[in-house]
Amino acid sequence: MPLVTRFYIDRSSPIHQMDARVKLIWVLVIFLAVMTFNHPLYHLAIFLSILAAAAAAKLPMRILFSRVKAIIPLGILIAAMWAIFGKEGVILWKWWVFQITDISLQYGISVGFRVISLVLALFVVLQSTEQAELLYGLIGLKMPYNFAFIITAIFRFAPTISGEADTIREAQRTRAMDFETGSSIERIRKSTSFLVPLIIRVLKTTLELSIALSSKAYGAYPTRTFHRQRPLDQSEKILVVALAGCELLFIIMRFAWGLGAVVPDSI
Amino acid sequence: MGIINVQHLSFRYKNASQNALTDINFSVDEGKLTAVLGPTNAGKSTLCLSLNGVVPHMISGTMKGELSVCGVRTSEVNAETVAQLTRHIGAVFQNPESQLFGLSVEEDIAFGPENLRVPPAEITGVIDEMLKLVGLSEFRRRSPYLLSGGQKQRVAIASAMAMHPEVIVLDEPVSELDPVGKNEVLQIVQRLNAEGKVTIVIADHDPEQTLSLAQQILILDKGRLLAKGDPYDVFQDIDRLRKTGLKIPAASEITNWMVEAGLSSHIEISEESAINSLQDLIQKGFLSLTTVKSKRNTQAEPQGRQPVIEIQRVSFHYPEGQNVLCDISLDIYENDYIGLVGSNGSGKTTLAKHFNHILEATEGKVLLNGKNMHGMRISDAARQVGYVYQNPDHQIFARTVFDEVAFGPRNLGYSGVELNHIVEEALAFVGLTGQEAVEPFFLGLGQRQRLAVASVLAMRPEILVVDEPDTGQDKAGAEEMMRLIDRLHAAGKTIIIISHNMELIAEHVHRVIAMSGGRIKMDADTRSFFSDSNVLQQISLRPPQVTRICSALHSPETILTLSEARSSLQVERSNLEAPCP
Repeated sequence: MPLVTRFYIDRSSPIHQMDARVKLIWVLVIFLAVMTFNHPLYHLAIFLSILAAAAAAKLPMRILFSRVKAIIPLGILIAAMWAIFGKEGVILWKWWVFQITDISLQYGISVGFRVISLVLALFVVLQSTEQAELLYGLIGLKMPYNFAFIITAIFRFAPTISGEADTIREAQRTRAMDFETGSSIERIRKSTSFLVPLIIRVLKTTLELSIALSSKAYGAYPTRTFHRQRPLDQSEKILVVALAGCELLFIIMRFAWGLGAVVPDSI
Repeated sequence: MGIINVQHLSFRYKNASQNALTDINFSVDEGKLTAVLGPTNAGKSTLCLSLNGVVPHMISGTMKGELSVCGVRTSEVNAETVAQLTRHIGAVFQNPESQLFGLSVEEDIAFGPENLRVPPAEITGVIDEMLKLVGLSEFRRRSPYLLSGGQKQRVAIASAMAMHPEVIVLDEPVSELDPVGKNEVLQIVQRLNAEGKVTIVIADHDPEQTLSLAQQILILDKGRLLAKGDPYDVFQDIDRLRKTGLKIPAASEITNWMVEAGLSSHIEISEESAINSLQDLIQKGFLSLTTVKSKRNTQAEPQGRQPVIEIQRVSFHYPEGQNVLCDISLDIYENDYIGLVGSNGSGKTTLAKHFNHILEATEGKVLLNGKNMHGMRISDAARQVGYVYQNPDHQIFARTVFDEVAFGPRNLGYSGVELNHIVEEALAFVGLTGQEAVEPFFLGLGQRQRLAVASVLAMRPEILVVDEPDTGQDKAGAEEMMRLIDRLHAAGKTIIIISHNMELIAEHVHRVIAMSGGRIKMDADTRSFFSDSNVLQQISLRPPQVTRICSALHSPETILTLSEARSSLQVERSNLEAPCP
């Protein structure tokens, strides 16, 4: 399946209709929030709030978690790594130099949640925002256009190049090339029969693209317009202010009132 | 003065030994459609790229002479400002895949106007207008990757037109499309021209498609302008055009016979006018259509031959996808010569990939020489079934022609004297003996195609699948390739050709398997296949022009080739010599 269809899920929801800039700011606030707190209950609350956003976007949880599941083992691993080197608190388990304390366990769970929540939030945005909208959002948040265009081109041409790669691999397999067997060195040697045609195809496509770009006036002038550019509407502006307010509140809770931390001296 | 003026234009690519264009002179009037025709390497693409300034400002070389478009001399722009020429001239290129940049159709149409700093509110109107123009309003938010080739080219036209250029140049816009796609694109070109919105220059190597659209044609040959003017006038000197290797449409060939026979004073260029002219001759009793004496063999019956591939109730789908093949049953016999036809997405390539086990049926069985292919290694299947891919550049990678051909046999364990012998034999068969030490990438497209065939033949398969053997080739290149495939068939190989080119199918194969929607719509000998206009219509294919013309003249049987048409059309000398009533 082409990469372009992997993320976005078309639904009629207020989250889908929301300006991409607001959704990107929401991801930023989630990032700051997970970094602000290190208490598992607070992280659970953040995690549940992301699930609520996913539900509001009418995203199928099965598909959402099928995308996120690859990161869950990493989250658990990170949680375990932090948990087994506990120093403070009541020892719950000990073996050789490793020990888990009540505090290290809670801190580990919090750090694991950071990774999982952040990736989950990113996928909520990716699945509820068309890639073009997302890029307009990034440009609206002052990303340089040339950089945004490169990202667009990667999204646009990744499936094309992937299709070319599949065809080349097939063509060599029909000439009895077995890419799957042999030692590492032998496999590298074998890969030249795949990589050389692929590189040549990519170079040829790049040349065709540069000619086609020129014929579409790319770079004709130092600036350009964006047809989807629109100001945020009133409700979106209120939401941005509310998100900023939330983050300010989180910082006050954590650093002024000492809430939401099992290890107060650490982020 | 025309909207395009070209005077003494010559161009030589950097490090090239010969000019790509030499002393070209022509002008194009506003609102007219000009077709640039010629065989491969005639200079068509170079001329198109010169018009929008890409040559010489992005692709360097030495340019002489004068070229102006809409009053702007392209020599006056430079590499930084060449993109500003797009206000005057838009371009559509051959490869639909590498000219669309947006993540959606809408984004792609907006891309040019955004670069030209058109206000956003105006762009929204332009998108609506262009989507309507090319009939793709319902595809507004679709990714270009998910469109068919014809739809992609329609988006490319919409994107070029969105910048409201006065001129649009289309460089072989239909040569990589299936018949449905070609038709879609040419209809839009015709509409643009009819509405007089824009001056059009369209390059093609097949005049049949563009000749009837053009008000002016330019015939290029080896970089020189051989002829220019009204298409009808230019085609009266048909022998001169034929010498260039340009494909002559059947309508012109047949009416030329009438001129040679003294029955007519002029050669027709359109199918409709050729039919009218020939019908007139038939009505006057000067011409008749008889049974063809020496027809080409289109025998599909096995007649004692053994099945080499047996497809038994095969269905196939990709993981989580819908069925691409639905309950297919089919026997392929030794020394069959089969054309596998159908529109894009009909399932023909998917079916062919079951023959060499690149794909494995999700339901049903495939037997190769009586042995079930389930669990068979692709390398074992490759000893018996060779597969020549459409684009030779998908497989060529070695440093020398010898190593490229030796690649497959080496993978099968051949070495030493035996390997040398196999490679020599394969190269001799495709006419590349003596090129062993040459780097494959320095060969021309036709030679690379033959090299790809040799590299598959070297594995000594008895069955050969050839995917679109004429892609990107002009008449001479396609004929050379097909002569090679005919010889392989004559040598006893079983041949399966996948093609959109109905002339090629009509002229060469003996049996046609037509697919549509993942099912076999018809499996018949070639003549019966082209006789069934209903099936052809259902699968969006059209018989060759010669078949269509003879059918319109009520030929007693289905005519497949020009030589059959020549044999069928009888000049009634007795009536010709009789005094007029």
